[in-house]
Amino acid sequence: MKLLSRPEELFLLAIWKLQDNAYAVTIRDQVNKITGKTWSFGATFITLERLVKKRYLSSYLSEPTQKRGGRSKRMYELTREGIKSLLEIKKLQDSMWDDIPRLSLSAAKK
Amino acid sequence: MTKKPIPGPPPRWERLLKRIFPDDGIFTTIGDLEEVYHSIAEEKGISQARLWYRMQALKSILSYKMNQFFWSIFMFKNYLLFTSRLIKRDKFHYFLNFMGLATGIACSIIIMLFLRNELTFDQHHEKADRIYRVSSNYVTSGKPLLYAVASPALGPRLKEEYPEIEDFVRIISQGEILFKIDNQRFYQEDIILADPSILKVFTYPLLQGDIETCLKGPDQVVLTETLAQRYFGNDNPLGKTIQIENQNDLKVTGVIKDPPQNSHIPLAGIISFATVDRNQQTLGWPMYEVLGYTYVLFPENYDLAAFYEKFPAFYEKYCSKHEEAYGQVYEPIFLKLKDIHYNTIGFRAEQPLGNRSYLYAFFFIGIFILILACINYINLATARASTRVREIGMKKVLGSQKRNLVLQLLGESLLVSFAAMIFAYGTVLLALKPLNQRLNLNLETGMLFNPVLIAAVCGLFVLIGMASGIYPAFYLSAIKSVTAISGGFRSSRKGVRIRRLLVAFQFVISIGVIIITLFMNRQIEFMRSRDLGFKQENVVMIRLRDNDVIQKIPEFKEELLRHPNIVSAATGLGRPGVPNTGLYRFESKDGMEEHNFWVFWAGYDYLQTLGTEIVAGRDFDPSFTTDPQKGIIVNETLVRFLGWEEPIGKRITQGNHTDGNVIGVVKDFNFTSLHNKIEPILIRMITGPGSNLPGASPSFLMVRIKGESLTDTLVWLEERWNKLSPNRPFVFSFLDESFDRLYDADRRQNRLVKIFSYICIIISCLGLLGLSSFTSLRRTKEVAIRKVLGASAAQIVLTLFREIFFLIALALVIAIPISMVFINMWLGNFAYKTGINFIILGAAALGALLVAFLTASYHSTKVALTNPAQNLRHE
Repeated sequence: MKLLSRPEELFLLAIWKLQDNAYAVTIRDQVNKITGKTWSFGATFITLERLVKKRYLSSYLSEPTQKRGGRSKRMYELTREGIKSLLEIKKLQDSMWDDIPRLSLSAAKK
Repeated sequence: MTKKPIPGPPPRWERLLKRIFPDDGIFTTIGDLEEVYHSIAEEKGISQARLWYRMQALKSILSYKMNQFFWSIFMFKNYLLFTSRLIKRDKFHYFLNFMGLATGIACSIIIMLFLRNELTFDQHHEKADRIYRVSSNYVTSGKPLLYAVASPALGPRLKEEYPEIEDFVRIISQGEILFKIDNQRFYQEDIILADPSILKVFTYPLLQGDIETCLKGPDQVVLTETLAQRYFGNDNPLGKTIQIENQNDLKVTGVIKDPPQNSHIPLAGIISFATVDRNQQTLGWPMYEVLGYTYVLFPENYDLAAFYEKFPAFYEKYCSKHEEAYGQVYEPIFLKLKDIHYNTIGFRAEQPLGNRSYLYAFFFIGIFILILACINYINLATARASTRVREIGMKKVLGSQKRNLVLQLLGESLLVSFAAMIFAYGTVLLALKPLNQRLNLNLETGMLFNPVLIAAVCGLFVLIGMASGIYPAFYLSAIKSVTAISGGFRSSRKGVRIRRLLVAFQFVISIGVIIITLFMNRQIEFMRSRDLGFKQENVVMIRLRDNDVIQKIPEFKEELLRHPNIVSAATGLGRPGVPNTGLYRFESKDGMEEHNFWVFWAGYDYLQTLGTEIVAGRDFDPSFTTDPQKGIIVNETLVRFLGWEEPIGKRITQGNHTDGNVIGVVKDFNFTSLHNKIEPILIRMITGPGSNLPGASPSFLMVRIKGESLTDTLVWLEERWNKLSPNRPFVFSFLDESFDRLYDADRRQNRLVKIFSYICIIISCLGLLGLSSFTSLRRTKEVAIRKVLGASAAQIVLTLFREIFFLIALALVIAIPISMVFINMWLGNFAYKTGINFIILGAAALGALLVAFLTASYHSTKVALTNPAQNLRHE
């Protein structure tokens, strides 16, 4: 099993959250909001491309909209694998966190 | 929130993005950018949004381009590295290749220069499209008689009657004229007489002088820059005096720029027409008396049909009254200025013309040489395949696509041909001068930098690079990587066969050209050595111009004959080898027949000086006082033509001024080049100055000198001549030389084909050298085994040569019949020719085999002499 990197995880989560409205602009906004940093379009696209290549995402073209000068959006959605790997990494993190309170408490007692 | 329409992102940037990232025309990314742009515009204002958009676009374009550039440089460097390594490893073959291509390109550059020069004849005149030469057709009893020249009255009369004709120019080509400047006398060539309008109709830019007046009056002359510089140095030439023909003092009134060489009117100076036509007396000449060439300038898009429509009225006014006296109907013939140089109409009194077939020959030679050079490249490149398969295979395994490989291989051949082109250009630059001298061409070095030519040469380089690279490129890139890597690749049978065929083809061309050259040599030798029926050697021709000298000729002749080394002397008219013709009526069974035959005008002892024989009757004889008017000598061919059984005494008349009888028959002799059969000729006497009849005064004095002590006699002759005619330099020529000049064109062709054949041989040998080196390389192991088994070096060389021997034999079988066809076509130009000689064919065949053997043995001996252990121990 391959582990997701943190940006990948962020992106996948953002897309999951956005549901039917996930495309470059909204995804970037979402990630910006969560991280509080400004992601460049370049970084956004590269990450999205990589996720598509790893088959965690699939993309399709929407109907052209007036707002974008009559151009389509490239919409992204999670694949089953994407969801699976998100769940896996969550499980991994949870299990990691589970051990921490006890240790830290005992450390604090000292 | 009030929504006001927001203008879109900067359109120029948008277009740029679209062009650089095509994205299948969907542009989702650009759409994203636009959306963000709008939101920024709403939040922070349009100018902020625009700035942002621009930055985005710039960033993405820059990084993309940098990336692309970086990788392409990387790959290019890689390719260059590969190529340079290959060249280092295989210097010899790349050198062969390079030399072959460079020779080919150099030849074609020269040929392009030549063709350009020839095809732009007379095109430097701005109004060239509208200038026509008016030639004359004198229809005599239904038969046309074409003259390039026209009546001097024609131009002015045409302008009077045809207001649409803008201007006319009359030009008399004088050839040589005796100049006297500062007490120095010499003949100046290429001086013409012309109307002042020449400077306006034709394009001869005037550097000094007044265009309106400089040729208007008599005794004015305009010189070219070079000539003015030669005569007067840095002095101002205007106002200087030149005396011509010991008669007129001309004033220099203008200087023109040197005209280009490729004009049908060679021009060093223009003397005003008024100098010979002081009171416009030529205006009264009938249209039947010709003098010089007439050119007219028509308006734009003039239809010649309109001219002929109005012509009957003109004819009525100026020609009808003379029609009877001359027995001819006059008709003007128009020829476009550009068409003059290559016309094949066959005018009499024509200017020196070009020959189009010569151009075609040149063109095909260029193509042939290029093909040969390309074949070399193809051969060597495909032959090299065996040494390169590993490289190609490795590249393929590493993911190189076929397309990239093809591009790389093509690039390689382009690189080689580019280098060859640069080299060829330099060579041509250096070689142009000596070449001009050897081949009698007038190519200017400056033309090499003509942008059209440079473009053409660049086109040529791409063409050659592609043509020679395309086969090897596809051939090599199509090799399967597995076979290539595993080493199982041997050049396929098909590839070998194509290579051999190409070399055979090269030899077909080279052998064919050698055969043609040999036959041309033979024919020219044959013509020069053939008995012409008279003795050409040791006859000096001295030109006669001045009437006072001509009058003293009889005494001068007697003085000459007293010299022990002078055999005989006689006067004559016209250039030797180029006689005139005339229309005569001959007595026959059915009354008088009219024929147009060659006419020689001769003084006493003419035939004796030429060394011909009288077979019947007698020569001209001073004791018969009627000879100058009535005596006519004919040749055997004329007697045969008219079927006369008893030729002596037959009546011959011309117009109403000549009524004579045949007094003698001369043995046939070749009086023109051997291109032509002997034709009927008449020999008539020069009547002497003061007579109104044609052939009044002689134009040359012929002196036959004994072969020994020729120079002494010439010195003596010059002394005598200077006493007789102190005002003219002693200029003479030898009769055999002037006959030889009739073969100049043939010799030029021969020299051209000879050079071509050398180049062909060199290129084909380069090809053969390459091929043989590869066959011997491929067979090193075989040779080693043969040696181990006891074969001698000589046997091995022969074994290796056998393959090439068959190629040459094949080439011979194809080349001989083809070259025979060409030779027969060329020999068709000659009335007297050598036959096909099998010794020559044999010599050519043997020569080809020998050259091939020597070339091939260079490598095969090397292979044959190496120690077999070296070649075998690897396995």
